[in-house]
Amino acid sequence: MNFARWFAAVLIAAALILCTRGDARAASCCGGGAASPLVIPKFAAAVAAASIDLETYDGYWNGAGAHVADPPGSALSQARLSVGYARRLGDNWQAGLLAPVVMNDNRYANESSSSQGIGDVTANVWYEAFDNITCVYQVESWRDLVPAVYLGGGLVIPTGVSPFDGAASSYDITGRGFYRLDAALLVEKTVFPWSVGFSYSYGIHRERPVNREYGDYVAPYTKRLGDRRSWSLSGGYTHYAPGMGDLTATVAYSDLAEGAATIDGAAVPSSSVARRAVGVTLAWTSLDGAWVARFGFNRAPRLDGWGENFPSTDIYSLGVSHVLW
Amino acid sequence: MCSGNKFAAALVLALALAGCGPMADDLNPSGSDVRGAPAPTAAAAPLTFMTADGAAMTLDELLAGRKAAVLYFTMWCPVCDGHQSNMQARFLAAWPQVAFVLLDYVSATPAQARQAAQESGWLNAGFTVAVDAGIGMRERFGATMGTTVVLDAAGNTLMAEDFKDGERLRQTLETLP
Repeated sequence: MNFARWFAAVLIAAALILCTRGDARAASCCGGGAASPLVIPKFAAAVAAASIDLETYDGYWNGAGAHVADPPGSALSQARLSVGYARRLGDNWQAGLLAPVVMNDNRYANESSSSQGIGDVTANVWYEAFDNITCVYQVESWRDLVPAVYLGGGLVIPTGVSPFDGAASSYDITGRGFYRLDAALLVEKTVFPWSVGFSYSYGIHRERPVNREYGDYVAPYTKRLGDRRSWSLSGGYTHYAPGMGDLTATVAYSDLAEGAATIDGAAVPSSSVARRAVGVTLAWTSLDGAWVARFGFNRAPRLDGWGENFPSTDIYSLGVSHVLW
Repeated sequence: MCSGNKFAAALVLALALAGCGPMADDLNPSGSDVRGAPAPTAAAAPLTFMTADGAAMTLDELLAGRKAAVLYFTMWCPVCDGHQSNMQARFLAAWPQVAFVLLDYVSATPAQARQAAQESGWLNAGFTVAVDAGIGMRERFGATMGTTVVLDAAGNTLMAEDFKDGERLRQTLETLP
């Protein structure tokens, strides 16, 4: 990673630290914050989050959906240190930013490589389609069943290293090289101690010109990645620990698919991808609701039909969020 | 808490600085053709590589009786798998006088390359499987995952770039006599 990138990462981190100073008051129960560390709870002013994800690779699915083992003697992983900050823009509006630093570690029988760099930065805007906290302790009328609904938009900014800029090798890639505009829906409902959640997003990549691949200039062409669709369904249970805060366990199923890329308008064969996975998350919320610590494990089962043209991975996540009022 | 303006200013500055780095081509991509002079096509120094059967093979032996050789640099990954499927479907039967080689640059031995090819379904799939360990063909061609090299019967390099959708490979093969 060059100096400019490191300095940019430090600056982003410093901005986050500076902007998270201030008094943290007791958080309300829910209406945000359960499904994503960067969604601000209702009536809170801001949230800052940091997480470390470790993604380990173990084979892949080919175009027919059959699971294939990695080459003998290989051990591949990627670690991501992400920092994020979201702040309230209005009673029902909030915006956030998430910036990762990506560390690749690839070990094969014949060669090894380690590289680091800033990944693709994501900016999000959410509109809360509800005016009050929607979590209830018991259902007494139909109004108690109304969920918290968020409508959002996101922009992925290609700040990472992609094959189309300075990367000399596939080992150095930390980003995809394309802007992507997402529309997202997030629905949460909690009837203590149970909760359910549903999220959906649809992203469109912006077509871009390409005149360089892995550092070498090539005959120019235009490329666009396929539309990206993802959804997840989750269910959770919260255990109250008197005097110690809450412990919430969540189980989720997620489904990701991306259509075929195009080059000069023509579809690229075998470029569509899919990945399905299951995950569990344990989250501890402090008594005053100002701090949330999370541990998550997400696994794509090494079974035929659980993916297409995509690596099968396990993701271990450890994160902390701080809610500000 | 600091103001949103301060945070936004820091963010803009950070992104501007980030834009000074190698990702600038992604933030503001260019479609200009800035290729330099074509790479020299003089006959390369003798190339020797090892097949997945463990046999050493020279480029001359590979090209004997053929119009060209296509070397595809594979690491047995999903992207490689897609490219190889594309080649198998579109090129192998259409250009029977061209040798198509899956050049494994991540395995250390022919036995490992053979095992990787077998487990991923690419052994006996119409390609010659070879291993690059200790031979340095990857360095020689500046190759990485998906790099596709076309050598003519005289050993001249006609193409050395990412496979993408295979169109450049098709165009290159169509220029063969």
